[in-house]
Amino acid sequence: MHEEENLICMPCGVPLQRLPVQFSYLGHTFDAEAPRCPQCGQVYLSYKLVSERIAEAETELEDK
Amino acid sequence: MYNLDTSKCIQTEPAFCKAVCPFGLDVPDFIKKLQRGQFNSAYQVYADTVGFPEIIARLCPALCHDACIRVKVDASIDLHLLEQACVRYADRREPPAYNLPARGKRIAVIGAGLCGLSCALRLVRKGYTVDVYERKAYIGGQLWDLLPPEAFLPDIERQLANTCYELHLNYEIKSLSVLGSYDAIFISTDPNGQFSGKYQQEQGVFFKNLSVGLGPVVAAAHGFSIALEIEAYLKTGIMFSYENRTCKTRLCMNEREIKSQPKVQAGEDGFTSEQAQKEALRCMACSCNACKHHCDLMAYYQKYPSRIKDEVTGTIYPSADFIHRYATRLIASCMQCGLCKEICPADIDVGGYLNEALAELHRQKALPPVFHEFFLRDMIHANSEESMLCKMPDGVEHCQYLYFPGCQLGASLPAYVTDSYEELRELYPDTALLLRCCGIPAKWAGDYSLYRNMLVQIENSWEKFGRPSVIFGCPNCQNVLLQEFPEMSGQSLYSILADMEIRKSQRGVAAVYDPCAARYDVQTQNDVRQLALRAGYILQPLSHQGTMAQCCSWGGQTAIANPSMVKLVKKRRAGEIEAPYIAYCANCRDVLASTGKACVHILDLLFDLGNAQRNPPNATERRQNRVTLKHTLIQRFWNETSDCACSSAEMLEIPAALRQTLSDRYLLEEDIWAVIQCGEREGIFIEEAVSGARITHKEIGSITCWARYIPLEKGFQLLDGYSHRMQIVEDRHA
Repeated sequence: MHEEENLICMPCGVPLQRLPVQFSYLGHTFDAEAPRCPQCGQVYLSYKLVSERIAEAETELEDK
Repeated sequence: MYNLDTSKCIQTEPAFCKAVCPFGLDVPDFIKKLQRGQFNSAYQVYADTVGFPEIIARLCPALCHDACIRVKVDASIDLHLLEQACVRYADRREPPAYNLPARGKRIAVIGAGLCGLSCALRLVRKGYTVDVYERKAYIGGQLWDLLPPEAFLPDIERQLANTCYELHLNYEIKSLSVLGSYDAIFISTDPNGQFSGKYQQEQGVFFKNLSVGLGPVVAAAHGFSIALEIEAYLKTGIMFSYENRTCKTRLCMNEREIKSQPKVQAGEDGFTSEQAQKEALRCMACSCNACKHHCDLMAYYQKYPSRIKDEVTGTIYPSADFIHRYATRLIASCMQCGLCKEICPADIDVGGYLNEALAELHRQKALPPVFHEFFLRDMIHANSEESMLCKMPDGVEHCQYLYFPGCQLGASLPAYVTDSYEELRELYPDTALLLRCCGIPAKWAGDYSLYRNMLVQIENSWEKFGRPSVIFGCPNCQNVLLQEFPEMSGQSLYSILADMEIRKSQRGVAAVYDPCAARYDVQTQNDVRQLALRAGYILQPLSHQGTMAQCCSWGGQTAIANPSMVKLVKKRRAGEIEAPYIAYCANCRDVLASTGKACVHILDLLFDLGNAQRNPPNATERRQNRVTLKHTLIQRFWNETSDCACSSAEMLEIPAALRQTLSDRYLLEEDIWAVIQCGEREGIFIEEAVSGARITHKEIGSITCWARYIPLEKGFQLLDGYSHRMQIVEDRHA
């Protein structure tokens, strides 16, 4: 079972899917895939993703 | 912008020994090789510098002996014996087999003493064609009076072995006109001899410019200098004058910081190879590294002031084509403790410069807001209606004293403020109270507009109370306000309470941890020590105390900008000695205690409050403590009642371990509660199908906070809380 299938968007009531999400920080924007509601666009970022890949990208941008 | 004058920096100044060496031998490099037992490598450095290593090692006047800083501590490094050991134990002593290709330039050297031969040696190795003229039947000049021929002739022969030069013995030059065509001529005979006063203005003619009697080693070094002058002349047509190679050094070192190490005693034949290595290890390769040695930031980044200045300048004024603000984190990592200026022999104030740079980055909106936002919000909380208190005792119109405890003292433990204020009111009943933040977080964030705003508010309160003398509970507040308001008088709470009775018991050994903000407050430093002694402690000094005090890591509020550096600093401070610390800054106390270090605040001893093991409150508890403190004070000293604001505590259950985790992640429980409330109110969250846990998020300031929780019959239980700095574009929650 994929992580997204266990995640139900409320109020849409549908499972999330891996979809593109745009991020912006310190004037830079970029796209990445993350669990997202196909209907309303609600995004889910896990602690693991936030504390590893996102934190790493934030540090890189701060040092740019 | 403030400029950092790094031209005063002495970090690149030569070591004392190198500065006095006639050859300018790179002693630190030479010694480093000996320390590793690399005699061949050391020999290469030595031979390249002195030309005739065996002769110089014998005759070296060891001017470095008196220059060595160790002479003031134990005994100079015996460099002379080390030179001899180097020559003795090197087994690869052959000169370079190849020299540079011939350059097609001819030079005449008149005189085959050590000076002329040294000049000739350097020139032939560089590819010049050299003819040496000597009126006597032998070479070596005054060396014959100093050494047996077997001690110098083989060395001369060896060093000149692979070179092309012509030696003309029994060839007295009475006039340069007999020499024919040379591109340059070096007259290395006695300056007072037959050529005295002649050919002085001649292009390409160089003279031995030495006082007689300085010895063959100085003469050899002079020969090398002349070779440099000739080479420069042949390349440019200009006759430069290279002064004597010895130079002055501005280097200065604190001999009190040098550990004594006895000199290695040599045998009759000098050092054995092991002894040489051991003696070399006494050498400290003198250079000024005071800043890198004492300043945590410079040690962490391994950078000296000049490099920092270059990087900061590039960060603040980046090229329009390529914006790369690579020193932003470094700028935001300075703890603003002032130690760099204190320990720098040239008074270079890197900290002041970095704070100016931070302000400039803030002005340009180029500083990641998250670096300081948490701390600024904390400052705003401390100055909010919830926590701030500005009151005179009832029935008093003008106050002699104003107690300014600071915002962190009561946040650490409300009783620190209530009990100390009670004591002050007994001593001076007309003591007013101003409970708020001094504004230093705004300065540390580079937001000078906000900082000035804070100062104006404080000044207004002080004026309103009739300009009383201020009693400070926090060394940072004291430092800031007394600096910003020269007309304000004040002293620390701990000096005021210095004569107070204190319960004495056998407390064992401890060290007073001076806060960096009290670096120049000698009175308080002494008063706290006296109190600690009267309480029954035996005091042990710390490596950095008094004017040398190091920041506990709180200063500059750099923990979000540079968590790894802060972690290192905390560990270093807490681990210096085993004995517990006695602090008189609540920030120092809580930072050190957060590492598990036993640390009491001096008020713990005065009023029998907390103990050295008391866990410091987390970020949320600190705010709650402030709110509680305000209500307690109003009730106790003004007999007024007030309602304490309801917090999230009743509706949101947070396990104790998670509370600490949230605090470590710089997340407030009230923010997490706001995230959950928002998600639940709008019905926007994600539900985990298997566990039933809900996840929602919300932007709070410049961060996005996430909460993972489960609904309970009444309220919620938090499972996790975290945040990130990136913004989700087109987010449903935005």
